[in-house]
Amino acid sequence: MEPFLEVKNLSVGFKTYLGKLNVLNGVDFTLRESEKVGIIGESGCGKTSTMKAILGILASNAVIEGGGISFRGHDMLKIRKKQLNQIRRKNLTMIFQDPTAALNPVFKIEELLGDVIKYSGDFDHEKATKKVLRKKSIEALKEVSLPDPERVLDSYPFQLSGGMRQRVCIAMSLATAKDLLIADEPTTSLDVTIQDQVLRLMKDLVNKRNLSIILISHALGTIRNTVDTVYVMYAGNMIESSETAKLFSNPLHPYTQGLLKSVPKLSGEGFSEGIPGRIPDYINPPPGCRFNPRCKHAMEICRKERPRLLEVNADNHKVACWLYNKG
Amino acid sequence: MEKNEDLLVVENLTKHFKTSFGVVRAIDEINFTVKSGETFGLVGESGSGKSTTGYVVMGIYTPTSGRILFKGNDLSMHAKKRPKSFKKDLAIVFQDPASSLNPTKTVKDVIGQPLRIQGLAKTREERDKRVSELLDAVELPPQDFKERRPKDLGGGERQAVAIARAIATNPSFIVLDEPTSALDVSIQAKIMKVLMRLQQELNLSYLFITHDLSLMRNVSSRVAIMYLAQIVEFAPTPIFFRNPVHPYTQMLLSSIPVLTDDEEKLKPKEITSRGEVPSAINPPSGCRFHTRCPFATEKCKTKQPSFVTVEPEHQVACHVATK
Repeated sequence: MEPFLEVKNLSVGFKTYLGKLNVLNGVDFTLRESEKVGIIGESGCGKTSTMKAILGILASNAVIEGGGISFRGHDMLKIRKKQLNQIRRKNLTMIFQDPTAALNPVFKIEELLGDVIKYSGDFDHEKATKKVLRKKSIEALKEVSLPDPERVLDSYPFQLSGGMRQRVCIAMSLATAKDLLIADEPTTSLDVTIQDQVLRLMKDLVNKRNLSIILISHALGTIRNTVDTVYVMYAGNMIESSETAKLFSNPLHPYTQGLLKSVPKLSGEGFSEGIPGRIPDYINPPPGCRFNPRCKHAMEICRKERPRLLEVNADNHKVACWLYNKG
Repeated sequence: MEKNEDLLVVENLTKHFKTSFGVVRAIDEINFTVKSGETFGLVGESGSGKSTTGYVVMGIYTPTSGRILFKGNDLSMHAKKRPKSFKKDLAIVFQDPASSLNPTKTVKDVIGQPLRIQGLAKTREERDKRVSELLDAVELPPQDFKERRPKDLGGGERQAVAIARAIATNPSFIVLDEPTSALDVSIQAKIMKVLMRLQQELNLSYLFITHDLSLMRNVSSRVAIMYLAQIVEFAPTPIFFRNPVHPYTQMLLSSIPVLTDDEEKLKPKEITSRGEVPSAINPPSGCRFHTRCPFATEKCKTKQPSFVTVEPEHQVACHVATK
């Protein structure tokens, strides 16, 4: 099936008073109809920046330096504002990490959710009465298994618990989503038992509506249980991608291997050494493969030339590493 | 102190906070013992009272009632009122090293401060030498780090400095309050290695507070699970993961996203997560978990369960599971 979202060789920098941060360094990424994709990587690796670039909501100091993003045939980097808004209204929605910051504290849930539904384009918003919107809002809240939706609608965000707020955010996103849901660490700020509930709910709703999803997380277990395909990001590059089960059983890139080993196991096997060093400085990133200063396999070529994300086996397992891309 | 002697004994410890909404019951009559040389794990979700427990033990808060015995001495008071010799003996590493290190000071000053206050290094040269030793102990090259400030360090390096500060006064007991939850996993592994090596070398006892059961599995010798200000289950770590008894413990374990099929097998299957943690201002009557428990009976709603020993060293407070 043809991909409907394609990110090709995307490079994004951020201007700061210290100099330019070269964050995204040629990101490649595709998404097919009703595919569930996960992106893993540690803080500061560019996961969120990639998603913000897709939605066109990068900070004002961001500079797009190369590459392209196409969504259903639209060039998202050149698209007109009006059309972009229409796409964002109907096709693309995002759930953010912190539901407290995502909900405007001075409005009641009824107004927040009602507005989203009113302008969703599903019906003539000039004719939408308060009563109709309230009914639709209640349906949306019921869908995310919120008990007592009437009370929730009359509450301000601070009157709800973290789990409830994130459910409201999911309801807001799903009220309009027709194509793709981008979930940026949707459960990071939640407790583990609540996280489990929210993830199950999200999975069910996405399946029911046949949506595509991009789930971003640094919690590897969360990704493993939710998606079909996993991309691993490091310092602004996609360094490995594969079918979920394969990636977890047979990681190829030295970074992925180190990352998976670093996660403490329930079966109690002690700790690995972790990965020495830390994420590089984006003002002067290391030349070649950006992982080379932390990699124990680093060779001459790793310091000179950037490896591309290439298929190593016939089974669509791709890796950007000179250990595998020799020929 | 010999290994396996009782180092810290907490008896009926209670901490309530008065707020404008009512009294928040942060900890309600909890009992536990930390033995010399061990890592005692305290696990719970946010708001369960696990950090408050650590703070009360450190004397950051004054307990509302109950006793804290450290090496047989009563320390049930605020740190200001404790004898100075005990301040040296207890240390804490906080969750977020970005806010627990003074941003205006250099690493040398941060680590040197407890040495100065406790009079452990009289001259500047002595202090300098000791700071270098401590930085070496946490695997930071002293010459590179001494003069830097917290903002110039990565998260893992900051936490290493916080650990160096904690061990500066040669304590025998350290409260580790989620020491790695603000760090990435690859960094977490390294910090945990350092902590476990230091424990061996310096014969330290840890009260390890976390919400991460997978982490706990690899660190602690005994575990206590907290739910809404109370402890609901105690067990030595291997037994705990083999045979979790309390429904809340099972719910917690079944909710953990894991990486391998081996781990998947360890998760209880018969229970899935539901409901939310009730308010600590008006906790439910009887067993506090009954509002979320799939097995709750009439008795659970009215009578608070007491601890029952299900196997050696494994205690559970539940009416249903221990019937």
